Amino acid sequence: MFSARQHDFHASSAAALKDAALRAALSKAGVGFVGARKRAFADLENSASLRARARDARVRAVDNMGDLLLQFELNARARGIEVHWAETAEQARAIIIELCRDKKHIIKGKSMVSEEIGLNAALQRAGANVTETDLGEYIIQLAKEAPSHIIAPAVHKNREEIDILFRQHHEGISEKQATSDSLKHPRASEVLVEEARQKIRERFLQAEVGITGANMLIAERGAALLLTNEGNGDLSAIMPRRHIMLAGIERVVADDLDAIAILRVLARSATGQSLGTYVSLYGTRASAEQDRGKDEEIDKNTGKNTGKNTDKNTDKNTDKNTDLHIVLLDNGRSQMHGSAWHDMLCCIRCGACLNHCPVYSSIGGHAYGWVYSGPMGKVLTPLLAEASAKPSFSTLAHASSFCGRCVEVCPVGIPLTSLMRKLRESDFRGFFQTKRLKTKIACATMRLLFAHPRMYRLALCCLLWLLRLFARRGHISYLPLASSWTSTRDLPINRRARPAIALFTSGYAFCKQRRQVETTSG
Amino acid sequence: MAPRLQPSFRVSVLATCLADAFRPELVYATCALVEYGLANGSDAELPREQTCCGQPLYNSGDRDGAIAQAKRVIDLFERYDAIVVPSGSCAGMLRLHYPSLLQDTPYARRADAFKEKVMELTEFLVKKSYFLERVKDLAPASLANSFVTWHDSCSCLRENDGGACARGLLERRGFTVRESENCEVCCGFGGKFSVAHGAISTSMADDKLACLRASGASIVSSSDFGCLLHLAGRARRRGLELSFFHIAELLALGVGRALGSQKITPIGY
Repeated sequence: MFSARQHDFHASSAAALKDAALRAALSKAGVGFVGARKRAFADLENSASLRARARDARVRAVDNMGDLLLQFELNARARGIEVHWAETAEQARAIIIELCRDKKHIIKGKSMVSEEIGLNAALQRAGANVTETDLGEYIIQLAKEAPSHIIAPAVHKNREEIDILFRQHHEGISEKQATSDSLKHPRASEVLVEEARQKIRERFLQAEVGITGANMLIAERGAALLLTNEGNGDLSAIMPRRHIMLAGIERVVADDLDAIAILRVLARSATGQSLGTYVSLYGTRASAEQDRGKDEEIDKNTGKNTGKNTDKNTDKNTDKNTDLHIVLLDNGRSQMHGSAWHDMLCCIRCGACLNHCPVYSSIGGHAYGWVYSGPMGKVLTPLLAEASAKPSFSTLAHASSFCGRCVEVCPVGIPLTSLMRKLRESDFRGFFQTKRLKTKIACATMRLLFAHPRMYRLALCCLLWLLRLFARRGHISYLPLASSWTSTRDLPINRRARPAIALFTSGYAFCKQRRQVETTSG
Repeated sequence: MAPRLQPSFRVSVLATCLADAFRPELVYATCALVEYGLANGSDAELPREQTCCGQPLYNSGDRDGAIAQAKRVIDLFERYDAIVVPSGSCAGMLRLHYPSLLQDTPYARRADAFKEKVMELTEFLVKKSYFLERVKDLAPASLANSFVTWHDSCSCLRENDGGACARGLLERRGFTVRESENCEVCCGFGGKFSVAHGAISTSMADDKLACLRASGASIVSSSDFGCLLHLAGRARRRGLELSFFHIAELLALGVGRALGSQKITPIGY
């Protein structure tokens, strides 16, 4: 099922565990996110029903993905939006490069799908000058790294590292010089943010094309919704003449009410905000008028207002004779539809599973080897990588203790652990993989022994007898063939060196007999 | 509250493969507690043909192997009126995962009936047995007055009653329960995970041990021996002064003369 080249998760996670700065950054961020989410949902009496409603919206969207996408295309075209379909990452890159032809300056709002298709590198190869405008993405772009978290791409970087990076790039000095400057005069976060703001602002003014992602594609309305915190998404959309939105096809939702249901859990799950700072709907001016009536209808139904500032945005858009293109990317998603991994399409990319995952908190996102990390990445990465002929990531699904905390916090109830187990099952079936040979031998042995209880008892007695040879004072500190346990932990052993249920008598029955003897004699 | 057992009911104990092999005293303590809770002089049965619940196969991706083992466990245990399991993880396997594993097999209905009979030990003691009524007659446990911190195993927390029964029982036996921070976070055991990803697993154990130590308790207890094996092994390697006991052992101190007279040492010592 999977290609032969393997992502070496063991090596990358071992390196991450040794990185003290990374661990400090992760633990700081993790505590913040977990607490914020908890408070955001604690304020609500009906958090369970909000999540159920969001799940319904996603399930409806994913189940009817094909129809909704066609409806979206139709309605978006009616608004004057250009809709492009890309089956593969390569096609998506080609479409966007074509749309950026003869354009020198490109700015980007944060988009994980653009990371998925490696857009920045492709644009730069085509001769364009690309600037990320989300602060986190800007930082990792300077550092030439990939995002380590889907909503906080630079979560692995601390202030000192960012200070050095900014000095290096903004002042054009060497890394050594920047490090010593930074040590002499460390700068506060506010100063760094302001400096980045000034730098990025220059780019906004030059930009000819803005590329953003989209959180939702609302089929009934034919408009795309974007949720951001820094306002950079909107500036990327408004300032340049051309706005390109890039989204996976599973971003589609049926209508405004479903979109609102998802919005109500999205930011709460992600950062603990009740709503992102900016919620914008993108269409074109021609269609803004016809939306007005609709917005009033929404106001009546829900008492919520999500679309107003958008119309203002699009007003400005047309003044400059702008156009909007939406690129819909498949890249393996349609293969997931209707398969065992169907549920994974419901993901709203909030990042709650990453923030709550003890494995992610130990190793950070880069160890997962690609854009998507944490529990959602363990499921999504192997599936999407298969479609785009990347190395096989089938080892990822094995890196879980199945603690289930991700399932508990997922706002749309994706059974992540079950999906990981299914991945392990399909990996187990991949017969020609030597990598799983050890697992297969272990499983075959277990099957044999479990089927023959007496043989199992005998084997257990032998094993305990053998273990006793390595034990001292109740534990084993080194055991050949089990060094992955004993290199970091002692192995507590059975002092009696025989199992609870022994070969010929139950030890418990033996104890009880002795008890009766004692009672009668006493 | 679930209907409690009639005196004529037969109760069996699924020892769990880990405790069977590494901690017989835990298995005996479980049997003694069950018998004390039954309050009718009948025995807790410990079927000798039992091996494992099949979770190692299930989590390794060997679905067929797990199905075969689930069938064997049902064949062996379904004759009893209750199956008590001193582990949240194995209880969860029997109760929640067997029905989904067996749903397309002739065992589907049996698995559904079976899951109603399976209970994690602390839940059984509180909800099905007469243990709470009788507990006041017991001599105080020898370690009582110690501070105990409860480690919520993930499966106890998310697949069973969430540790409420266990905390109540510890207090009824004279222990003072000190809560630790982040008690809903995994300790890093995860069965096969602890071996396949030993380094990450150990890093998670260190995070967990830091929280457990900060609680100020001297004893760590849990309903899952796997977590304790892993945590005690790590604590011992680092020379930390914490003792680890399965909850059955703490509760059973003083229950039944033969068991009570045996000195139970902390896990790993």
